[in-house]
Amino acid sequence: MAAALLALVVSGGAARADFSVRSVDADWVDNIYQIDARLGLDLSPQAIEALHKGVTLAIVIDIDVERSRRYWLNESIASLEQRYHLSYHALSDQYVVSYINTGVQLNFPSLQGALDVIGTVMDLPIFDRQLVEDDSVYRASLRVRLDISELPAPLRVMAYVRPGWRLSSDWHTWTLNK
Amino acid sequence: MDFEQVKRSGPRVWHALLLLAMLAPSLYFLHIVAQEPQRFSALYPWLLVLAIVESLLLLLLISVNIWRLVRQYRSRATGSQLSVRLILTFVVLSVVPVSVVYYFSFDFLGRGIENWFDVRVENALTSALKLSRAALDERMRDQLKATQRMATAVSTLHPSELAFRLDELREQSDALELTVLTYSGRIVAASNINPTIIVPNLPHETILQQLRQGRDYVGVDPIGGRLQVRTVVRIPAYDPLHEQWVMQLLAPLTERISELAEEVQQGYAQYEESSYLREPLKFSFLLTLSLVLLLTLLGAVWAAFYSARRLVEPIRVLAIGTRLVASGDYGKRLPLTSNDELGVLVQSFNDMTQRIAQARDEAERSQRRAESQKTYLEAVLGRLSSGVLVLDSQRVLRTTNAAANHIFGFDLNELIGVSIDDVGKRYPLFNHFIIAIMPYLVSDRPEWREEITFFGASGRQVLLCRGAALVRDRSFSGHVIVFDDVTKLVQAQRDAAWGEVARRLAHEIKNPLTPIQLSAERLRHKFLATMDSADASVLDRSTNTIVQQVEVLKEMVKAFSEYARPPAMKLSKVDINALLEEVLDLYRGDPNLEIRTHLSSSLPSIEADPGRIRQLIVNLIKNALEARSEASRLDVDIFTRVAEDAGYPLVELILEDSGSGVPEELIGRIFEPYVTTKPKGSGLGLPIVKKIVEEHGGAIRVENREQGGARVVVRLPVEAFVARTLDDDERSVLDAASPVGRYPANERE
Repeated sequence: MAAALLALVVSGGAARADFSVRSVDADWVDNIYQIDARLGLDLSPQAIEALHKGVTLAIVIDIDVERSRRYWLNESIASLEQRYHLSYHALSDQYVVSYINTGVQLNFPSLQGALDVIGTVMDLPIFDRQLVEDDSVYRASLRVRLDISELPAPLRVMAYVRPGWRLSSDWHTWTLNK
Repeated sequence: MDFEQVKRSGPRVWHALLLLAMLAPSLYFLHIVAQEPQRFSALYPWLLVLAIVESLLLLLLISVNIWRLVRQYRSRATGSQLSVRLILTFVVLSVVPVSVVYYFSFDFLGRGIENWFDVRVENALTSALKLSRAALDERMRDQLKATQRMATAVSTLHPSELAFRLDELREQSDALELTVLTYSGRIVAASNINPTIIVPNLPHETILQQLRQGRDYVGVDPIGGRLQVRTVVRIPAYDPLHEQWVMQLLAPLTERISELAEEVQQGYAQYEESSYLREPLKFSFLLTLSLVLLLTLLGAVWAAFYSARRLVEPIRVLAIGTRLVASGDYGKRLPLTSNDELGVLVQSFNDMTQRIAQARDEAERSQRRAESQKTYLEAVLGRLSSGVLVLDSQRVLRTTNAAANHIFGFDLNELIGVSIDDVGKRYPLFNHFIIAIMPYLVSDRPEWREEITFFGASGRQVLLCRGAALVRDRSFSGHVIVFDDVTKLVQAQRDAAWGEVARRLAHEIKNPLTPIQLSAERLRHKFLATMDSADASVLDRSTNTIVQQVEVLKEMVKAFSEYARPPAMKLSKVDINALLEEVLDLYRGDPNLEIRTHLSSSLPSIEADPGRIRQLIVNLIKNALEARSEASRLDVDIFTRVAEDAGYPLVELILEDSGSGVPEELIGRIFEPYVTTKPKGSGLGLPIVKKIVEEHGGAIRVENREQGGARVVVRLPVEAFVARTLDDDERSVLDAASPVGRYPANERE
């Protein structure tokens, strides 16, 4: 047991990321910075099994925009979190995607269809041009991850221990064009 | 080991409090997290980490303690063995019950969680789900057929008519929404029960994909908590060139069926989830349980160390204290570590050592006192001129003094602890003394006095003894005997008596002598001429004899009065050497006398009466001459030298002759008047010499030389010490001090 506990502590950042950011396309549209992104969401067998057993998975897209500062920590300009809940409806054999930010709920007969919807970010507005200063360098970053903290408590401990649950893409970072 | 170390290694209460403050919250939170996992679930991982960190900390603490204990045990430190035993006991006492409880909890927990799940329930739920699906399937089939009919009905319609027809069809079928759209998803026409909804609910791409493959779609959508049946069918084409359309119908299930189906779905989903989560749940419960147990156990082990140390500490201190006391160190005060019975023990121990120290100091003081008293007593005894003997009840010699040694002539100190009977067997002289005092030793008289006379090495000795029985605790415990050598005193009294006799005799005899002589001469003068020759010769011879003998008597009386003459000293500085030469000049020329002088050149002048000293020298030489046999040759050697007695400077005059010496039986009494071996002489020569010597505070002794002849040794002090003859007052004092009838000794003889 002690060894497992130790692994829990040690394996914090070392899990293999099955999620990935395939492409990000960002530009100004009417003075609003908008993002299009394609995300690869490969669920591990453990996650799929849990989904089919009635566990709701929380998939989160994190977007950060920072102003670079030479002699100080970077200043955060905008921080956005897109949160989706993915669940399985046994009776109808449908996959239900709930977009928490808006409350919209969509049903899909296939898992891949549900994941494709989550993994396709279209025209996501991030911030207004007024917030941008001309002489500064801005860096934006994006990642997608499975939120372990929203898993049921008993499962969470296992999720910390077992690598199949550590699903997160690396941060995809790009410089903002003005 | 020192007490500074004792204090440093002592356990501290705040250690325990700190540890408790650290452990209690984590244990409490682990407890509430286990109770309400949903509420505190965010805390859970952090709690686990905290618990692990605490466990590691405790392990470290315990390791340090074990290491320290092992080191103490190896070095055989005081109290370490007891500590080990106590700690082992505590650990066993805590670990065994906790382990048993853990084992059963583990078992119960696993079985308890398993008991929530039942195959029959699971089967029932699965069956319910299947039943629901079957019920829905029938409904869906009906709707599919109805939709297909509708699709056939609208297939011939022109698009412009389609919208009206759709409303009609929708109302007929009690549908929520009826839509006609292209395969690509473009809406051709739509009818909704709610006219405000403009954008219809479009089928997913996968459904359209399925339709393109020639299969119609029917399915149930869980929308907004209510179930809807979605059917999507192809609309048969009336014109092959015309674009192909599909029709979608959304119809709600009846509220009753929808609710029931949703309940079945939820129940099934929950059961499935719980069933799926039971292993993780068990794992997390067991993890919590194990962590709590680990923390408790480690805490208990540490507490074992802590309490063992606290318990052993006073005992250890006591052990060290006892060892110190055993090695004779009573000065150390043990530090008080607690107020309980052990504290009382330490306090009592401190009191005890303090009392022991006091008693020891007291004993040392009394010993020193006794020793100083003994030294004082010995000093007093040593300075006493009287001899002292102390005997115990078995007549064993206990104490003596220097004067006793001097009187008896041997060292009595070496015989302390020996019975005086044994001493008597070894020293015959002492035996006389024992025999004389024995009657008093055996009698129970508390005090006694006795004058004992016996003959020792230096002639007749007279001891005046006083004895007393020693009584201690009302029982007889020995004798103390004090004695003085009064030989010289008796001698002096005898001499004084002689002087008195001589003076009276001289006085009594001298008075009639002159008339006798005158009468004899007158007889001779008157009758010698008138008598016949025969008578005349008788008269002549007789008167001559009378006159002659009277002359002799007169000489004798003169000598007597010389002897008895009271001292009238005329002191001046006298050079003995010069005086000797002066006197010896008178004797030079005698062919039968050879006088050799060996005079010290460093001889000091002495304070003396030169006339007397001259008489002394004359008498000594005369004595030597008188002692020689007729006409034989005599050698005389005269020595002078410097001597010292008890720090006082002396001049020693030694006269050795080659005569016949002194008979042994007379040697003790040679200085008494008329004790003489010589054919001529007054018998007062040596007594007068002795008198002169004593008048000058000196001493004289006569001894026989080994090679024949006598040796006279005269010692005279350099500074005058004029002895007085006893006067009447002093004599009466002496008489009073002596036992009745004993003094003067000469009267008895």
